[in-house]
Parts: sequence; structure tokens; C-alpha cells
Amino acid sequence: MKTKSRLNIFYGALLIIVFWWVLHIIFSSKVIPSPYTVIINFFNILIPVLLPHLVMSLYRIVTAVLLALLLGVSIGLFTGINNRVDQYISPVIYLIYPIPKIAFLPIFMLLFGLGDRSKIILIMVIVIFQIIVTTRDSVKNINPEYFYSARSMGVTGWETYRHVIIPAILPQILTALRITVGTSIAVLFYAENFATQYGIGYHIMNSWIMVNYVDMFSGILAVSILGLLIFQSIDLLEDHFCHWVKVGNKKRLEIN
Amino acid sequence: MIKVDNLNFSYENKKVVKDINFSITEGKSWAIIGPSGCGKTTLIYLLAGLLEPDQGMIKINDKIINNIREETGVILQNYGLFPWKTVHNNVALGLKVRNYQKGKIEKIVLKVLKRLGIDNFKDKYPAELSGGQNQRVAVARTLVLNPDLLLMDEPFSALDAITREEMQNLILKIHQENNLSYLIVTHNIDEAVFLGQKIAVMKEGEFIHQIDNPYFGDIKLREKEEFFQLCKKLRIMMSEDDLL
Repeated sequence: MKTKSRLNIFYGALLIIVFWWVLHIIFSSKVIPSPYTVIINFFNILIPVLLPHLVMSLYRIVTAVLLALLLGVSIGLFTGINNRVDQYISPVIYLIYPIPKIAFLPIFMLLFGLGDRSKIILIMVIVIFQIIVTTRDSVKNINPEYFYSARSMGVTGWETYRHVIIPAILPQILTALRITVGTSIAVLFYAENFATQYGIGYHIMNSWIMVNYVDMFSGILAVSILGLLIFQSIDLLEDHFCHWVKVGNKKRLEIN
Repeated sequence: MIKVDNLNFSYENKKVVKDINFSITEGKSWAIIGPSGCGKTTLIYLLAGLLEPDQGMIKINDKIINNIREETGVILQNYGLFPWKTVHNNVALGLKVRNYQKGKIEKIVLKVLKRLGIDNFKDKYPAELSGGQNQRVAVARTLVLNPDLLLMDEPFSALDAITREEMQNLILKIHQENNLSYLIVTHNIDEAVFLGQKIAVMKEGEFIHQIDNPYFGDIKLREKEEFFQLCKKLRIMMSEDDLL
């Protein structure tokens, strides 16, 4: 299974490189350097140049996503379980959700300073809504028989969260996490264009301004690999905590 | 052991349980039979303390039931097993929340799994097992808590005929070995006759007939003439009322 997934990543990468190479030939412009030059350059500048940027970006994403998870899941659970709370909170969520929160970066910078804090808060504010809505809906969709079953076994209070609610909604939360990670990398790229000298977003835009397309593409490659690593980590979490979903799907396939 | 007085329950302004009265003495078994939607599942939930009656009272061993009772085992219609827990963890849950020691939990769980012949599946998830195996897990889950009363809501309705009979035999065996009282709700006439020492016919929230089953307890009952006679009697009782 693992080798198969690694092989799939290899095929995916190969497909992109071929596509990239074709574009390079067609346009024959410096704006699209050849994949070969970029890959060589990538490895040359990986440790001295890219790594500090990547570490900084990873720190911002992980902090923002963890905070969003903590707050988002709590709010989602609260609204999902209490119908009355949901009646009041959901309209607020629906009103704020569609606002392009990226426009608030200048305000966050004034409120929380120019440094990391405003960037992390921006990412958090953007991804938290998907997590809240997913958590709330997943809680509402839990089969009521599970609650009766748990109660009949003597499971009450916090134990219900531990044995029923959290495990039941975890697969959906991990799916929400995958979606939000994609969004958060995109937002990070934007946020890192302001008031910082570190971060992969800064590196890409800076190389662009310096007309160094090979460095710029190396940065893009680095973002792509960063994303891949995060997605793979989420897959690992899923394998560990939601093994039952995979087992169930496999059985269903066998029956059909 | 159980005394039910004038029990009433409404769901969204519709009375689903109407003036039900009965009592079960210790070590006895009851089968309640009726068509879908007759209120029999609600009755089980009321007896289990999962729902509160609008009127009337349920007493088990002289204690009024208004919440879960530790010594009552409940088997719900779709087994009620948690798909995210392995067989072992599903069965151990009740002991875990009662703060049993880990070593003791292991011992009890393994003993019960062995007794029901499912110890080989202890690390599997419910999705990996057949209906009959899952049903055994559901039975194991209640047995580890050493109940004196078992409430079952159409527990075998999703099983094939042969597995269903195996499970019925198993319940009868447990009843006889542990002197366990139980109440089973079913829509299957054969099942009611095989598993009910007393059989109640339920329709639109009421008990319309109650009959004694003198042949109860014979594992070979299904092969005997009396079994068919009683099934026939029950069938006529149920269909007569349809014609009215």
C-alpha cells in the first residue's frame, strides 16, 4: 500500500514535469525555465536559501491551523450539540464566512503588529470557518442510536465526547483539514509579501522582482513539496486514528 | 422484578405507548410481538431508562426507573456497536467507564468473547464482521456487565434464518445458565414463540393479548408440533385484529 502511494506520487510528479517541460519548449521564454535547470538549482539553494524560508512558513501554517482546529472544533461541537446555540451562532457564521477576510490583513497588522502574529491570525480566521461548519454538521449527522447505545452502557458527560462524538467526526475533520491546508498555503503566500524577509512567499515574490525566474520556480517547487509533506502527514494521522474507515470501505468493495 | 404501571408515552403529540401494565418476575422471559410502528421500540427505550414516560411508572426491583440502570443490558436494533472501536474495545467500554482496572477488564472481556466464540475477532472492527458475528459482539458487550435483565429490540431482524436461530439458541442458553430475565421485542412469530415464556401482542401502543407459553425452554421446540400450534394461534390472534 505504502509503495503504491509512493509510486503514485512519482507518476504525479513526472506528469507535471513533462507538462512543464512542454510549456518551456512552446514558450521558449526565460519566464518558464526548464524543469532540469530549476531542479538542479533547487538542490543547490535548498539548504542555504530555501530551508530558512520553508521553516518559517511551516511554523506559520502549523500554528495557524492548530489554533483554528482547537477553536473551530470547540465552536463546532458547541453549536452542533446545542440546537439553541446553533440558532444564534450559525447566522453570525454565515454572515462572516463569505467576507474576503484577506482584505483584513492591513487591519490585523495595525491591531496585532507587523510580525508573525498578524499573519498567523489571518490564516486562522480564514480556515476556521470550514472547520466550524464541518464539525457542526458532522456532529448533527451522528446516528442518534450511537448516543442511546452509549448511554445504555453507562457512558455520560465528557466520556460521550471521548468515546462517541470525537471518533465519529474525526474523519470529516481530517477532510476539512486537507481542504484548509490548501487554502492556508495560498493565504500564506499573500501574507508573506508584507513586512517580512522570511517565508517561502517572500522568497518567490522577491525572486520575481529580482527577475530571477530560476530561483522563483525553485521556490514554487518548494511550496509544492511543503504541501505534499503536510498532506502526507494528515494521511498518516488518518491511518492511525481512523483505521476503521479504511477497513469498512475495503469490506464494502469486497462485497460489491 | 419489573412492574409497569399505566405506562404512557407520546411522540410529537402521537400516543405511541398507551396504558401498558405488566409485571415480570425474576428469571422469566417475555416476548413482545407486533407490527412495525406499534410502539414496541419505544417501550424498550422506556424500560431501559433512555426515555422518560409521560405518565405511569416503571419499577425494577422496587426502584423507579428514571435513568439508566447499571444491571440492565440493552441490545438495540442495529447492534449499537461503535464502528470506530475494535470488538475488544466495544465490549470493554462499559467496564472502562465503570473504572474497572485494566487487568480485570482484559480478563472479563476475554472470558466473555471466548464463551461466545468470537475471541478470534477481538482486534477486528465491526465492519469486518458478518451480521451474526456483530450480534454476538453486541451480546458480549452486555454480558460483561453481568446484567440481571436483558432488553432486546428486534436484535436478530437483520440476520439470515440459520444465524437467527443460532442466536436465539444462544440467548436461551444464556438465560438458562445465568438465570437472566429478558424482554425481547420482535415482529417474528417463530422468535416470539421460541423465546417468550410469556408473549404479548402489541398493536398501536397497547397490549391486545397476553398468552403463556408452556413449552418455553426446550431447545428442540422448533421441531415439535406444539410449536406450530402456538405459532398458528398467535398468527390468528394477530390477523383477527387486522380484520376488525
